[in-house]
Amino acid sequence: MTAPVVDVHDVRVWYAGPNGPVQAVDGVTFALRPGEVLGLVGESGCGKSTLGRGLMGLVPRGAAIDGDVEFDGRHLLGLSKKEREKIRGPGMALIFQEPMTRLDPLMKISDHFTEVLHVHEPKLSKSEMRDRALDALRSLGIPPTRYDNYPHEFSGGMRQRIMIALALALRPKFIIADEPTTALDVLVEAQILNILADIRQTYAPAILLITHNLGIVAEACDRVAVMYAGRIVEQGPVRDVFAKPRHPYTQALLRSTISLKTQELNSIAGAPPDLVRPPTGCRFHPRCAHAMQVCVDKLPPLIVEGVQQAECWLLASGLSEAQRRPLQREEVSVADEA
Amino acid sequence: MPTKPEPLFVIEDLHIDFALRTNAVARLLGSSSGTVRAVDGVNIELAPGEVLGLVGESGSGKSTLGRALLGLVRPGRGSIRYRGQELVGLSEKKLRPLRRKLQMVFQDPHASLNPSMTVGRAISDALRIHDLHPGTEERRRAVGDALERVGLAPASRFIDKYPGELSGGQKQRAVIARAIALGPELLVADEPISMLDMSVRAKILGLLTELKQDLGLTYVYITHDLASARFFCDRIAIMYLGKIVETGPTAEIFDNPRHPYTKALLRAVPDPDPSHGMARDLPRGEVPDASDPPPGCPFHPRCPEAVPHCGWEMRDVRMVLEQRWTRVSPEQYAAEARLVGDASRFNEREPAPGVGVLRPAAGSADELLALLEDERASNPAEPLWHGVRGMASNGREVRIEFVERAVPRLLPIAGSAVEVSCHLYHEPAPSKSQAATAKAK
Repeated sequence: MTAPVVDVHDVRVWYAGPNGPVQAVDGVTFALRPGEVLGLVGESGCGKSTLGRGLMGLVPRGAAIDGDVEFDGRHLLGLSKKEREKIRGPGMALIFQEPMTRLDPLMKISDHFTEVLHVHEPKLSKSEMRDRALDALRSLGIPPTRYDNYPHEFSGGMRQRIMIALALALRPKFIIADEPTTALDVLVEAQILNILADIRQTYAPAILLITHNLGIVAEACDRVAVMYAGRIVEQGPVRDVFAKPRHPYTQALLRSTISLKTQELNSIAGAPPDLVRPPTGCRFHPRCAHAMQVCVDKLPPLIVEGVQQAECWLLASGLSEAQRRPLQREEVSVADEA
Repeated sequence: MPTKPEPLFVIEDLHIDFALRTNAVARLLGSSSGTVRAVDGVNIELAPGEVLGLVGESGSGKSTLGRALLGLVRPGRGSIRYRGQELVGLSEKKLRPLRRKLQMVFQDPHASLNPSMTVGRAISDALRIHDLHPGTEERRRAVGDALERVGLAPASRFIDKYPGELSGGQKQRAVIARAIALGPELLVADEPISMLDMSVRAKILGLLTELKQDLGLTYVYITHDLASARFFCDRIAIMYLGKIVETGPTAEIFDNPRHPYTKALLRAVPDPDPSHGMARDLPRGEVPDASDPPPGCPFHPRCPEAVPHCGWEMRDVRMVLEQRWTRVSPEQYAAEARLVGDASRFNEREPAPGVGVLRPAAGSADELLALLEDERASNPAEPLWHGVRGMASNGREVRIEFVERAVPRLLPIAGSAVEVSCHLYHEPAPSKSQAATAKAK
């Protein structure tokens, strides 16, 4: 097996909130190999975007990040701001949700490319830059005739393609795509997903795809990591996890998804917790239908079963009778829902 | 056959235009540089107690149509009758009492509530405007009932809360409470769950279903999400660029989609079953500019099944050339782009109906013709070429003759309750102008 290009170990991110420090990401560990796509899913506020940005070193002012992010043999979190900036772009790239807000309305598409290439690959000549840019645009189906247009002259889907082309022009080894299709229509979304699949064939970067849409994970990812309240509660190959989810949260999330095959509606009781004062033990226990006494008392261990791994006491062995006692669940009213 | 119930709404030949104002002077003077036809000849009925889904991508006119039902936009032509009463052209004063019966829920619950007004106040204001439940005590009770009705119970916990203190799902419940407090007959729900988290969507959709049964509501459910539409709606109308392209009972539309656009939409929905695989061969491009929609069938430039008379024109030739240029080498592109010139050359007025003319920017018309012929030979499956009757050079320009265009109409499919607007299912009637020219020849 090839060595991972990104190795994230026990990463924590916390920032100041009005009621105390918010523990947005709390001990996340995963690895990505070249050409692999990992889907990061969870409800809003579970810390998935914070994690994505944190890996790039983009944390809000006043936030702190801890742990180890090894990228291409270097430990990113120990690097100075300047050194990190050098890695961004040719090393790792970020694709955001709203392409319009990320492109400068006063700059032509060609200027965007020259700027990016000028900063990261100053040795390229002008015509080499142009070739590189047109190459990236072409691979995303944007005709070269549009090279000198302004962002507003493009549709939403085209702008997202341009964003991806801008990232690809530097041939990054690792791409973080944060909800890249959420603002787009169904057909355009499917086109972008096709493009991401094509990119894997041609450039083979490792991709971290952050999304709330389990359908997209099923179609576009090799592996999935399910995040809840700042922790990855389950990860594994998409096929295995979706066929047999181990963690009750993954099970509930899959059940609550409305798809074309939905016959009846299911939902998850309650709401995600406040990350200033997260619940003790397993953070999902207040919403979990299978919660036991031990879930309140202790953080569940990571249980590895073949290719799948999950943090849940239900999978652990050797619990005492008292620890196994089912938790009396309070009646969850709408009052507490998300 | 059982007699159909009297429809709640009858919409006939509805057209809604919006004026485009391009610059500040035009804005000030109120002059317009064109129009966008948001709704283009829609006919549809709505039976009491039914859930009609308006489904389409952004710019399809689904929201405009929904707003027109409440008299929130003024149609240019056509008729909307609510229980026999014509709404088009009705004054605001006369519309207002009707609005009590016609309510709307918007996509963004946060933007639908005044942040400086408590939830209770927002609902009681709506009651006050319509003179319902007079008396402080009685009104407060009615507000409480509405809140508990939507699951915000006990009402005392929520009635004095500001929107900022509620979660997304709770806010949407409050918005729904405000709508149903007035005792409406029709609820137009415009993407009511698309801003919410996956785990909350099911709850709000469940609430809407419950309210339908308990209060006998009729819904117009506007969405781009086919999965929730399939679950929630009795009948579906698929819209594209202001037109209904396919309509019928939900089960039939989903089990046997007929219009190529409907088929594409269904294929494109990401399925949470990993064995499903990714949808390939999807329609190219995006929804075109609504201020200058494609002639014939508006979907034809993207349609994988398009036929000769779907409405091919010069802009489609340009699209095909631009696609070619994403395939060829940079040198070849540079040479060909010099020959063809810039994009505006494809937008010139047709010298005769169905005839396009392209002058070379540099080089000769014969070279330009050779380029087009080369593209046709290298990509014969391209639907555009079915619609090209002939191409010829007269030395100065290339003349492209297209097959007569026909505008498809929404017509029933025999043996089903589905109506489709597509040439694949109905013999096209040649458009009037081209029929006339043909006769003159």
